[in-house]
Amino acid sequence: MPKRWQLVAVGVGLLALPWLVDAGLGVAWVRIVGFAALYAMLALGLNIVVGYAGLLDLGYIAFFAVGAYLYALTGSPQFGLHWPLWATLPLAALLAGGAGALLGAPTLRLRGDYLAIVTLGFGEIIRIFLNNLNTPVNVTNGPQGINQIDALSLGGFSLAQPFQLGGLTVPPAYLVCYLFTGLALLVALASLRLEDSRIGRAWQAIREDPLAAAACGIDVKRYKLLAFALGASFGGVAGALFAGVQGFVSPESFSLTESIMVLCMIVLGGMGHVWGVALGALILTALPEALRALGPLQKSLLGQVWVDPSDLRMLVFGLALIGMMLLRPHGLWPRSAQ
Amino acid sequence: MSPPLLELTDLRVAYGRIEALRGVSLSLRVGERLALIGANGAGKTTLLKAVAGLLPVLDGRVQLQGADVTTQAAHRRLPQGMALVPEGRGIFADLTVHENLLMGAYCRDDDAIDSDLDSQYRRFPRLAERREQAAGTLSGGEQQMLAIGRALMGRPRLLLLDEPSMGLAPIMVERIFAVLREVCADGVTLLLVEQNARLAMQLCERTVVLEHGAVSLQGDSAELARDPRVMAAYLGQ
Repeated sequence: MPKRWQLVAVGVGLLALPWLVDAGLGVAWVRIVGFAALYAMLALGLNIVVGYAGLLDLGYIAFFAVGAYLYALTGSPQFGLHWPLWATLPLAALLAGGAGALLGAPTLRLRGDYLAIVTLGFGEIIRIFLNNLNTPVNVTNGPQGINQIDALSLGGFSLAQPFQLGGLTVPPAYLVCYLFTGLALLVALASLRLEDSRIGRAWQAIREDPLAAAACGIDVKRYKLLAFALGASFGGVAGALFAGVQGFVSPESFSLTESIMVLCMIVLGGMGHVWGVALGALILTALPEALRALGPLQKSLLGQVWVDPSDLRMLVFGLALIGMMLLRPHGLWPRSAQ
Repeated sequence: MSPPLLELTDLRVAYGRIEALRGVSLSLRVGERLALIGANGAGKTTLLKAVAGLLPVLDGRVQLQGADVTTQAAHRRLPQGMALVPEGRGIFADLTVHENLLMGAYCRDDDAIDSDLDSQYRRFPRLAERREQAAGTLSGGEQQMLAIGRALMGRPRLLLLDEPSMGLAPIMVERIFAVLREVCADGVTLLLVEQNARLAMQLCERTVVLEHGAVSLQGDSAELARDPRVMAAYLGQ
């Protein structure tokens, strides 16, 4: 199929996606698909750091937090600012990228588990910082978080309002789904381009053997920093969108568990493989939602809810992860083996 | 007289408080082959890593064709003509054979890369057969060939080679050394670190013996091979 027709097919697919999901599973699932796309952006950012450059980062959610709080502080009554999305998104990328470089610089000499511990600490520092930055000057509102964040809006029309197109009414959930899946696709394409570039090859070489990479003339420090900064900037963009769609952010949303969840998406999908990572994000976003049905299922089969579905969900979730690692240790959709 | 290709002056390297090189001086002329032999822990690999810029130098100097490169970052040394084949080969296991070779030419931006690739494949027909295979699936000997081929893709004037015989079958070692002989005949200068002292001294016209981080003996390989101390300690006679 020629490239132009592939693009048309993908475009039509994306346009039809929320309608099909709504018809099949209900409008709640349109929101879930949107969130899956958001998490795919986040996971693809971490994939640059972990999958491409081989740097185990356990504090990645901090960059998501930086983006989210940037959007929250510049688009809410907190400071009375209401900046447009076209200004906040690049700024979120820039600020999170800067934070990434800041984390990267002192950790350049660390590898493997040592790096993991330092990045974990960094992630916690950012979270605790956000938690406590309500005194002496109230910036983040502390543990209460920031409320009434402006809804995402593009060029004057809000994504929180239904959109009238001729006789057709497009619900807000659809609009968010369009924006997120479209951006996720852009991030995926950018990742693919990076992977197949000089930069991507340098990252792969560093991942395999940093000493040999340096002996091949690769500036290992520079490329590691670049991986941290680029990966973080993807996370920052995802964070800004997250704040915009939730309307509320608090430090709770950026705990270590979240970092680990994003890492799970990569490992489950297939580390270093763009489409695998996207699949991992979709599964780990959708699975907990699908497992909500365990409550009603118990009721109809056993007449009574014996185990709290939210507990059971985590159990099934954990078992699924363990089983996966035993059966497909390279992920569900790994890069084609050579 | 032109300056030596490589000159080390009173080179000192330490791991924490333990001094691994206690002032080593040696020099290599253009086109020369120098074997560096010694027991485990004598500092051979440390010396090679320090020359390649992969370890910080405590004191002393590394000069490449008269230019001081002591504090220069490792990745800047290949463009200046210095290539390292690291201990344990250091191939990129997930990349294909072909991609590994291309990584060796990472710093280059000229039209001769393709023809250089062809000449590596001619030199190592086994690599040509396994061109699209992941490098991690190669045998030890093939990986060693790949590591040498990759280093040569940077068109070095000076080749630093760390233990090419390590863990290889004798027949493979012979083949590797035959290739090294060819490479040197093309004018590449060689600094060879090797446990297999006999083979190294056959290949290289000059030998340096390292002991506890210092040069204990050096000279013409043929003469040193008759030295009773060398015979007893390194040649097993």
